Amino acid sequence: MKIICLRDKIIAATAVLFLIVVSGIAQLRVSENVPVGFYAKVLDQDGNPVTEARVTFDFIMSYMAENRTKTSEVVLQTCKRILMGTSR
Amino acid sequence: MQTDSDGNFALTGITGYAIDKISILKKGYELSPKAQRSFVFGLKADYKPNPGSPVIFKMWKMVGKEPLVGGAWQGKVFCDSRTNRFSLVSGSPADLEIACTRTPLNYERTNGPSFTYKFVISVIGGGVQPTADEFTHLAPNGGYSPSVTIERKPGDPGWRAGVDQEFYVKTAEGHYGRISVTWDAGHRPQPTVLLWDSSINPSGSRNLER
Repeated sequence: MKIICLRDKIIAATAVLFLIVVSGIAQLRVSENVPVGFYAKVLDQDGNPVTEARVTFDFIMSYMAENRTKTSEVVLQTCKRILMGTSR
Repeated sequence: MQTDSDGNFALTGITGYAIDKISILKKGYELSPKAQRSFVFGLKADYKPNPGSPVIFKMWKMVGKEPLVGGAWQGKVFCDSRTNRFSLVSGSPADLEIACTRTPLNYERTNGPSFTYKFVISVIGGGVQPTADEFTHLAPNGGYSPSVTIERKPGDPGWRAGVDQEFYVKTAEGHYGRISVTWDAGHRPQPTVLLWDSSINPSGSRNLER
């Protein structure tokens, strides 16, 4: 009976430890994804603004996620909507 | 997404880790090949948002491509100061000279810089000048010297085991062009490896768009 209790305690402790580790990783992932603000300007060789240039990019949504590929539609400041495909 | 009337664009209102492989396209323009294409916001961030100080992307407004001629070479060169002669334009008389020197010739590899080197490039009857221009689509009018020397010794800031440099050139005929050169000065044992690639506008125009 005592042996069974000890085994159960070990299993329970292992489970708790596992949850702590998983929780830690999840927190790490969250902390590495931050609100994005990216501001840019396009100029030609004479310093004149380049208007109506088409801008595209991949966006990595989730650092450390096993599957980093995600496609999402987001609202941008200087345009209406854009469909972004992400890489990896 | 498109740039606005001031050439601006912005990305806000989302959460994530990084922008990767940014691409900016407009007909008649070319994005700088030296433009930073990735920006990290999360861990190891290399970009801090600042609407008042936007990232500047440079584009070259093309004036029109012209037929360029040139040459390319890849091979081994001895780095004992001997002069190597080439032709900037394939099939034409030799007008490009490159001499490489490494001291000591045979060195012991260490963790840090372990030899001095000298790279001399000359255009016979013409001129050459190094450039770090973002675009090399328009050769400068002046500023050419018969030869350019790049010499680095251990302890020099920016020492690296070789040369990776672009130059503008002007031939004896007055034709403008560019040449990119890579010399692996550290190759052991010598001879070392040299690569170059040139583009010359035979019309006499300074336009080097390709």
